[in-house]
Amino acid sequence: MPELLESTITEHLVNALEQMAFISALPPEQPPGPPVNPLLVRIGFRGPVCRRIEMLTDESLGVAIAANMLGPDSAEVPFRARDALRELLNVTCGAFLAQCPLLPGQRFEMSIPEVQPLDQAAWSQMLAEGDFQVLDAEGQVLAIRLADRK
Amino acid sequence: MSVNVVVNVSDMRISADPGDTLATYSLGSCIGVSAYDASARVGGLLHFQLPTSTLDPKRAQAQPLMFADSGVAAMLAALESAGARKQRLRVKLAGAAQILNDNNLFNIGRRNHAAVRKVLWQHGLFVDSEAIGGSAPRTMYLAIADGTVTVKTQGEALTL
Amino acid sequence: MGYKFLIVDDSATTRAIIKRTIQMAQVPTDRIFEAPNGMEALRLLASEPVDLVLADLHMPEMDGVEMTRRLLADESLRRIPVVIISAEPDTSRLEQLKNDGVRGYLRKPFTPESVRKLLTGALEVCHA
Repeated sequence: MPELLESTITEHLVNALEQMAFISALPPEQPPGPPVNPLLVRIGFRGPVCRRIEMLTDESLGVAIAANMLGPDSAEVPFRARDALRELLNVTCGAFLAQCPLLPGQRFEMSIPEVQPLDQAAWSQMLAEGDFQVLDAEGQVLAIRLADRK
Repeated sequence: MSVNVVVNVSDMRISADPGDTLATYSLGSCIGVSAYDASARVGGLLHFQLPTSTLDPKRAQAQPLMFADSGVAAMLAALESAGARKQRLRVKLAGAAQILNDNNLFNIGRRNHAAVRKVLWQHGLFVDSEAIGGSAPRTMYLAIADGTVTVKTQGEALTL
Repeated sequence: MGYKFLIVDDSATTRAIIKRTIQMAQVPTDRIFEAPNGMEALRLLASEPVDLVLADLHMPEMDGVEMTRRLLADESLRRIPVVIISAEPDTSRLEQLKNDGVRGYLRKPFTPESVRKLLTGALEVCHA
């Protein structure tokens, strides 16, 4: 069973956000307030270990990512917010799995990421479950964890 | 290296004189940005300290060259006024070191790097080469004669 | 008179970045086509010859591995160079694709500079 190096997942998320969207993410100075448009983004992977990566955030982070990538005046920005968040998690997952040591012949397969809106209560409850690494991405809340694949 | 134009912290200089060599020192977490148009033989060097002018609009108004976004915008405007064309510019970066007494993993140098890459992307410019990160301060030179960019770190020189 | 490109990725945002990078690279460009998956890409290629395909691997409907396999198996399409831009974690899979005929690959997260290097390298080799 390969060691998944869970502690590095945040590093890969931060790196993906910086490289592709030019956004810096830091540990928050205070606990985050409730998001205005809460979202859950998820991606699964199968292989010698089957797990899921879950990301909690606000749709406004997706808007910020899309604005940086497409240009702030692009008419497409509002429509690409969720796509941008899916791609962020896709890239993070790939980078995370790439550094997991595998035996010859072993391989991971990633699913297509999904975005799901949540109400504030469900979002906050999920965050309170624990295991999430929380970040402040230039004013937007972002939290990530490795979860069991249900 | 015969330097005759010094670029200070939160400062920027432009030149079209082939006899000029621009230099900026003490690039720790700051970033030096050089931009050179080989056809027009015009170049500029910016030394900025902080990532985003919107974090401190009052200070940004007084010192636009302190920030990546307003500093780069100012340099590009000055270069175009001096005869450079944005599409011909070759841009190089140096700096963004993690200062030894800054034990925050997500440090200002890294934020500066993300911020300057963002503003360059927004202007449609690539980073042609860079000397970024590490923990030692750097000095950056731009020779207007031919656009050569040299970076010195702890006595060692590198041509970008 | 310039090159024609096809960008294949299910992320519209990623397609937009790659498209903008091609435009910034000042490579003579005639047209840039886009497709959200391998199936749409093959449909487009059936009627529209291009000079370079830049493709992701993980896509719904038809992934990049299957799309590449079909391209390489088709006499009329196999001459079209393909480069991969993907979050694929398995290097051996990417190297196998190169052995099969893909001209190069780039892992996500990518920088615009690395995309420029990948596409200019592929164009130089294929059109030298």
